[in-house]
Amino acid sequence: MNLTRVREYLHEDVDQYTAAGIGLVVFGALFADLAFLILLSVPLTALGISCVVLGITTVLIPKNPILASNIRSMIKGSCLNIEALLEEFDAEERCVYLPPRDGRVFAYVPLKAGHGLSNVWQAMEAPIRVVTEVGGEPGLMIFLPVSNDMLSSIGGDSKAEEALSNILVEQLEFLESVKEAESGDKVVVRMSGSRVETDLPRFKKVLGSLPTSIAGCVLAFVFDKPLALIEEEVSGRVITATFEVQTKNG
Amino acid sequence: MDRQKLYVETLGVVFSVMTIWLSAYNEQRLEVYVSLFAAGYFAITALFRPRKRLFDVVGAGLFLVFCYMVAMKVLDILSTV
Repeated sequence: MNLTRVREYLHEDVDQYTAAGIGLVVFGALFADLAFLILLSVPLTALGISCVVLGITTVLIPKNPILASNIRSMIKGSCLNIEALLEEFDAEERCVYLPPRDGRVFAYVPLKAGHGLSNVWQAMEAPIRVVTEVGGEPGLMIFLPVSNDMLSSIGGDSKAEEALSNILVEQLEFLESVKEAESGDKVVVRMSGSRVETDLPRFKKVLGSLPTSIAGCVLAFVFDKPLALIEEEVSGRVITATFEVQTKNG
Repeated sequence: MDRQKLYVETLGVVFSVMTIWLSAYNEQRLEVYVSLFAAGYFAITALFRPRKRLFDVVGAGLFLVFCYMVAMKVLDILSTV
């Protein structure tokens, strides 16, 4: 059983149904014991057992019944628009994932070669428009399909690996597991058991594969700093992405 | 009403009806109740196919209890032969 999932679940807010389920389990267990040992009544014991079964079932029912596969399909579909946009502007340069502004994480894609990292701090000040101008050079601001709610569910003081696992493994079920390592200003993310495959060449070239682009957003949110996608290596269902955290003096 | 809630409510109604029905016939064997609960649980779960947060603990528990009861019954029959 996935222990991360159990831990996450235990930290979730207790909703009405879960509270009712816990109540039924406690009541049922006590009632079944009482009926079996003191009242010596089999039907009442059975009633207690049925309450326990019903209570546990209620607790196990998720708050959100939307299947992760449906969410994955919707996110994959929304990437088509980004692919079309990148094609239209003939974007070739790797993007830089920018930290949240107005609660949204987005990626800056320079349209001219060699202007990505030099303009990154100016990009953070640039007006939030799809087609923008940073330091006199044209660029695109891409809003990736990762919602504010999803990112804010991470929490401000989460560790990067924990946050990546929360979004990519638990919520979206894009991957089976994710590992993150930091060395200086480099962040390497190894994503195993990828369940999404998109045939979007421009998207992959500029933003990386879909799990990498979501990972970039999550890392930019957690570090609250711009991150440049340096390289991505895909080997079967394992994706290894290297990001570089941008610092003002670097 | 969403399918998940309907599933829990159906389960509650079915368990209540089973308990009332068996107790009305003055059934005093606990294994009969538990076996019927297990059968009802699996039938309704197969019908609604709800999403579960974790591994189906209830199904596994009921199945194990059911297997234990069947094994005890078989041993009982074999010992009387």
